[in-house]
Amino acid sequence: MRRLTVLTLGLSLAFVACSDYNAYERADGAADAWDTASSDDTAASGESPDDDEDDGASEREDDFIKLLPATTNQYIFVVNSARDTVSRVSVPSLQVLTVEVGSRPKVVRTTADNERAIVFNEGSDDLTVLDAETLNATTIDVLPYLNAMALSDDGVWAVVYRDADEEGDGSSGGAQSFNELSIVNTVTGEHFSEVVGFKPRQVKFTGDSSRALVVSDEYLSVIDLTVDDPDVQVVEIAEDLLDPPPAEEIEVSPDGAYAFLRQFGEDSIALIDLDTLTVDRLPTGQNPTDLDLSPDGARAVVVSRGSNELYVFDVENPYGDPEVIALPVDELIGSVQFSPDNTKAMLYTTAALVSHYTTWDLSSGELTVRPLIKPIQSVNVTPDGGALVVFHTEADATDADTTSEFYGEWAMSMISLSDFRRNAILLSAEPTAYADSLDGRWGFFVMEGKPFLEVLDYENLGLTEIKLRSNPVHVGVLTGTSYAYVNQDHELGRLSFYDPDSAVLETITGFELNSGIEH
Amino acid sequence: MRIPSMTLLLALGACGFERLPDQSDHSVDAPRWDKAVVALNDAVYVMLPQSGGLARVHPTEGWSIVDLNGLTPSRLVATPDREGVIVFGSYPVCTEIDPKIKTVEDCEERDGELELVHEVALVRGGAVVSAAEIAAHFNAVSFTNDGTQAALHLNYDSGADIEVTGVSDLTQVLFMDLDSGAITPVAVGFAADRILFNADDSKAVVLSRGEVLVIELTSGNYDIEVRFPLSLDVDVQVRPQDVALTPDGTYALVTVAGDDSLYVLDLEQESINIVALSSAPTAMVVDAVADRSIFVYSGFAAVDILEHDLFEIQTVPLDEPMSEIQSLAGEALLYSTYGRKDAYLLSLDTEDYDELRLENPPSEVVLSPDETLALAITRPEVSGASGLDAWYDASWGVEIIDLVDRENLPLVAESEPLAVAFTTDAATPTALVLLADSTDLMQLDLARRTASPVELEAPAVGLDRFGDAGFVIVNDAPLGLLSFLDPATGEIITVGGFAAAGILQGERPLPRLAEEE
Repeated sequence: MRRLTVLTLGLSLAFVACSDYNAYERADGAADAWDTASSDDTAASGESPDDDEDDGASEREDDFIKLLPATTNQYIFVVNSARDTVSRVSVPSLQVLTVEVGSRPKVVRTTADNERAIVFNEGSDDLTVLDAETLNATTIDVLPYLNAMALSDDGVWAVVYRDADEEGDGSSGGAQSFNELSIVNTVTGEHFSEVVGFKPRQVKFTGDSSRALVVSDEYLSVIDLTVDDPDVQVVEIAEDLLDPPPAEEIEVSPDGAYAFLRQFGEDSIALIDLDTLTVDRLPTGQNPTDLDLSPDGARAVVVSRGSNELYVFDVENPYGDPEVIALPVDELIGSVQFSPDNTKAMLYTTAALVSHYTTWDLSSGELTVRPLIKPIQSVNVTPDGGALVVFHTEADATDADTTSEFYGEWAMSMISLSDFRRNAILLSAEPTAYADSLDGRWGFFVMEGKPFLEVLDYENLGLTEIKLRSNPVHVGVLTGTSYAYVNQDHELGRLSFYDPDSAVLETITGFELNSGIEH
Repeated sequence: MRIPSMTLLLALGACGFERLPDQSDHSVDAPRWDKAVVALNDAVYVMLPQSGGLARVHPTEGWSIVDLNGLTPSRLVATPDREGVIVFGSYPVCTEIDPKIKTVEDCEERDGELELVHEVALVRGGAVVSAAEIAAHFNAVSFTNDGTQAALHLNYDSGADIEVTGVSDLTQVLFMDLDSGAITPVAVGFAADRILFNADDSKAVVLSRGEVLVIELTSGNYDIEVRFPLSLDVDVQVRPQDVALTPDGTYALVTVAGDDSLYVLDLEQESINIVALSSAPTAMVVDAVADRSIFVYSGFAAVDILEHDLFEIQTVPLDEPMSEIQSLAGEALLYSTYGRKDAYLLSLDTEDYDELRLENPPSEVVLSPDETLALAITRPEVSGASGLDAWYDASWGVEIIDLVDRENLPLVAESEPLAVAFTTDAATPTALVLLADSTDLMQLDLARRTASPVELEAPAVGLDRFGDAGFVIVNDAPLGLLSFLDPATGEIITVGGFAAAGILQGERPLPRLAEEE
């Protein structure tokens, strides 16, 4: 299954990767801010961990890049919002074809079978379903005032909703609902209007795409997609419906039986039985700041930053007693990230300026605190689990060496997960986007205002810098390949493609002009 | 034997037909003959502005007047095979319909008004093959590679001289079959001013304001296959400047006036790519041997080499900015007509170059047919030098550039060299140099580096090839004088007096009366 991950860090850091892991996919295809770690304003200001132990600075993201391209194994689809078009770039020929879609297309997603691209047109309140090969288009109307789209893994179902965390759709006047959403069968073209909880925050699908879960602060709406007319059932997830805590993070068990929901400020997580639609609360210690499933889906792990503990639940039997692991007493840990081979996990915080991380050996249970050159802005394990990529904050820990070359500078580290040797790299600007090749051999990132593509060779932990023609906006990897693409600043569109195996860079500029070609 | 020279003709060849001198309608104030002659294989054709005629001049047959059915020629363009000449011109008609009106004077006496009808005629072998009425503004011609078709269009660069009669449609291009003379108008967008044909002449690439069009030529319908926009903003006027095709004909490379953007138009996949050059280019050349394009910049000391696979650019820094490129099949000779004295022989494969330093700045460079030598006409320059250097700086000159040994030899000229040309059948490489205000044509033995004069009957102003290996020299003589030179023997045959034809006429007859129209 193709999985696209977008990790956004800090105010503007956005990382993109194509891999089978590293990789939490929010159903709308945008960055799952909840599953990634970032420093927020508190961290940036150097606030000490003790200052926020009670409710704490969040480890969540602030934002994610809009208008991300979508890829198949041979095409990249780029939305041209201002011109109401979508451009399809073929790889490796770099042929560009542009088709008109609806008004103000906002997001494009490709289906897992690489056969279709689904475009949500915010201005015209419709979806355009494009045949990836022929570019034949089908238009399906949706409700007005919606601003986000989620696509099921099988590509059949699209849920278009009004994301409370998103800006409005720019419409004005008329009566607006904050509970209604559109459910669209992108194959048959059927549209269904449903009412869910107030101001949805996230839409997620079960692995088999049989159910869609719509999260709002008070309710979890479970939509059965297996029936002719999708059926919505609503579950109360907040104990205090008058002042519900913000829902922050949801994970669904691989078999679709349970949903684990983390809410801000709660010392427990909500466990929802998706068959019985019952809700139970599982105590987790103080201030849980991260919730993750292990790569094999067997364990749900909650990081309780306030009590410095890990709560490990058996996903098949979540009601059983969790394993509680005490974390190193002097460490502040708020996030967890597993290696894809399920042998270890990284424990760290992005909410404070801490220049350490802790490795957790899943077989022995051993916890080892390891040094870093600087505090952490984001952590990513490569798709094959061979290396750890850490992007560091510009700010330094309070005990940092002020004479260090890294002091007050942006930096990143590549760390081998076999012997933990590391390559710390000084950066001239803030990294803004990052992606890995599927095979885990290569990584790519770009920096703010720097016309370079940085290529990471995870085999030898080496870095190569490739000059670009203009400043990058976004970097990604073509599905299932090592072929990187870099979207760049140019009024008429510019994409560069880099093959790390042949070290060849190709650039196309002005492809938006193709929308004006008359045949 | 005195041999006049032909500078204007060579200058015409250098700057293109669109830069011809202004040629007004015939009148007593007009010159008797236009020294921008056109040398075809059969004869030399000379416009006679004062009499409104076209003279055909041949070294042994003498001269005759071509019957243009009253058309007064204003512009001549030779066909690529030099077998024909396209004649732009006009003739007057009287607005008053009266069988008694036979002359211009009759028309004026009967309160009529004279109007000019513009026409283009194809002349071959001294006779009109075909003629067709056209709008007045057409002032340029592009030819297919096989020379069977011509496209008549407006050259935008001479905008101040665009002639409009009534209401003119500036969006049209006229395709002319050069066998039959048949003309087909095609609407191609506003101000189409450059037209290029692909290698097999199946497509025409037309540059017009803000867009580039591809017209198919095989069906005879002249359909527009694709229209490439150069901007999506109507407020942004992108004016294409030059166009070239890659050797395989797949891509059209379009430079833009005052912009460093090179538009790469994929004619097969019909898509657009923009490549950023180092600056706004002054010259562009496509080299078929190296399959690369070369760009130079009058204001930037570098040359860009563009490969045609990934369209990546290699920028080679130079000591001085260059403005001109001569392609040498895998190499390029770069020089500047902007007062620079460097010249570079650039290898397109290795991107290395040899630098040459000319004694004075060149104004023109001509390659020998075998591309082993080049001749540069150099001009005086202001300098602070003294002695011999100062004298040299103040002199006109000709510089021999050995393209094989990468060396150059400067020669001083007594006056401005108006034109240079290589002879093709001499035992040793030989060049002709035409000097201003001189009755001597200099013959340079490029192997021995010696010069010998050939005496002309009158000072020469132009030089062009004629026949297989000969030359025609345009002399500065009031009633017309052309000298035909056989460089192998040094023999010169002169033909003169053709400009006297028709200048003593009284009343001016209307060439085509109402009933003939």
